[in-house]
Amino acid sequence: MQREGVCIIGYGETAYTNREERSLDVYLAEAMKGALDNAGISKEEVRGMAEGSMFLQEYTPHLAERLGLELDWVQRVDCGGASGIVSIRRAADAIQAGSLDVAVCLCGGARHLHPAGPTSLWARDYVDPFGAGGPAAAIAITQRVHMAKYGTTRQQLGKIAVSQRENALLNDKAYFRTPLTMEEYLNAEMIADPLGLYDCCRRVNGAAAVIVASERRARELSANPIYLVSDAERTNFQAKEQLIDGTLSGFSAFSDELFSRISREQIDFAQLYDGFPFVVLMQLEDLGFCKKGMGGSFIDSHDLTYKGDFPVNTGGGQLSSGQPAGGGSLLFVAEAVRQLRGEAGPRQVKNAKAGLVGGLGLFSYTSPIMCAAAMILERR
Amino acid sequence: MQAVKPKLPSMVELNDRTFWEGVQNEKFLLQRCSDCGRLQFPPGPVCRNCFGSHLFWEQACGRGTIYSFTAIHVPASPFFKQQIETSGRPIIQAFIDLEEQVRIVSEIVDCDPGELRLGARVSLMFQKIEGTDFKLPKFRVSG
Repeated sequence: MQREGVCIIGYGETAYTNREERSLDVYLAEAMKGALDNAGISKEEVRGMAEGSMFLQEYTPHLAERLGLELDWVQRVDCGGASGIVSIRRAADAIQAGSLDVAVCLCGGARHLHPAGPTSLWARDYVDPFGAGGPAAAIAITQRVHMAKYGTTRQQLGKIAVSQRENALLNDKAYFRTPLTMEEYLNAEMIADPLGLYDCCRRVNGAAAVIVASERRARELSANPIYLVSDAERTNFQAKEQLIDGTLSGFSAFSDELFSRISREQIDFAQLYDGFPFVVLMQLEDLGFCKKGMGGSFIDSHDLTYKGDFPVNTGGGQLSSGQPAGGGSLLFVAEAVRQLRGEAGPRQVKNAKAGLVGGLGLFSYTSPIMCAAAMILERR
Repeated sequence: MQAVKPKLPSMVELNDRTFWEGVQNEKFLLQRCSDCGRLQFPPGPVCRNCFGSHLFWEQACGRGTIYSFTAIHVPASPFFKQQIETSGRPIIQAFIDLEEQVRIVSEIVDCDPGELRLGARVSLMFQKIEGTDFKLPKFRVSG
C-alpha cells in the first residue's frame, strides 16, 4: 500500500558476533539504545513497541518491562525473517490510526542462550523425518529447479555472496571481514547440494532496532527523517495450489503496487533478505527487476557492490554480517536508513535518495518462502 | 559410537495418528474433500481449498515423479549426522509429485545423487527408522 505520514527517525545495531554469550534482551537493549541515540530522543518519547525476534523466550510486555518501557501499544510479530519489515508495517498502521506517535521496532537473536522457539508442526512431523536438512535443504530443492529450468549457475549466485563480502569489508559490525573469492565459494564444502557453505549464513548474536514516528512528530524531533513510501506483505502465496511453480514467490503478488509511486528505475539500492543468495535472486525476479528466470543474467550484467550500478546489501547482508539467530530483517532496514541519510561512511552509495528493503521468512511445506514483505524508503 | 535416538513424528492429533498408523500398515493416505473433491497432504482439520470439513481418507497409488531434490551432506540433527557418517552417503530429500497431483516431501533411497534426474519416476516403499520399529514412507527410482 502507499503510505502517508510515517517516517523512520533512528536506527541502531549491535556488532554481529559469537565472541560472547549474552541473553537476547542485552542485544535488544544495545540496539535500541543505539537507535534512540541516532534519533536524538529519550526512551520516554517511545510509546509503542513491536518485537519480531523469533526465539524470544518471554512475552513482549515482559521484555518491555526489562527495558523500562511504559507503553500505549505493544505488538508481537512472528513472521520469521520478514518480521522486521512487518513490525514496521504494524507500527505504521497504528501511527496512521492515531494510536501513538513514536514506536520502536526490535529484532535480534542470541544463539547460545536462546537457540530455538516455536516450530512448524508440519516441518517437524512431515519434513524432518526425511533428513532434517533445515532451511538449506528447502532452498536447495527450489534452487535446483531454477537452475534446471532457467540455466541459472552457481557462479551467478556466487557473485551475490562475493559482492556482498566486498561491501562487508567496510562494515565494522560485520562478522566476516576477510575477502571471499569465487573459487572459495565454488569449492566450499557442500551442505545441501547445490548449496555450499558460502550459500549459508553464519548464525550469530546481535540485534537491530528502528524508531518509527508520525510525520508530524518526526519533523519536530528529527532533522532528517526518512519517509516510508509504500509497503506490502503476502503470507502463503499459492497455498491452495498443489503442483505449483516453486520458483515463484509472494513478492510477485504485490510487486507492481509496491512500485506504483517510486519506480524500479528510481531505486538507488536494494537491501534484500539473504538467508541464501538464491532468495536474493528470487526477490530480484519476483519484484520485477527482470523477467522471471532472468535473475542470473541480471546479476551478470550489474555491479552489486556499494559502488556499483545496482548496489545490493551494502553492509554485507546476513551472508557476511551474520544472521542473528531468528533475528528478523531489521538489519536491512537499518542499513537502508543509514544509506539514505548519507551516514554509511566508506560504503556510502552516492546520492542515495530511494531504497528498497525486502524480507522473507518461514517455510511452507513445499515452498521456500512463506512470508514475503517489502518496503520503499525515501529521503525528501 | 553411541547411537543417537531419532525423533518420531508426533501423533497427538487424530488426523496425524490416522496417517502414521496407515504408514505402519504400509499405506500412504491422502485426505479427499467430499465437497470440492480435492486431495491434500499433509493432513489438516479442513479442506484448504473450499474449507469443507467432510474429509475422507484415500490411499495413494504410490507412483510419482521427482519435482526436485537435494543431497543433504550437513543435516540439522545429530541422528542424521550419525547416519551420514556411518553410511558415507548423503541423504536425498525430494519433492515428489504423486500421480494423484499432490506434492509431498520424502526421501529417495538406494540411489546415487549424481545419477538422479528431475522428472525421474519413483515408487513408494516403507523403511523402518534404524533402531526402531517405526516405518517411514520413502521412495526409490523405478526401473
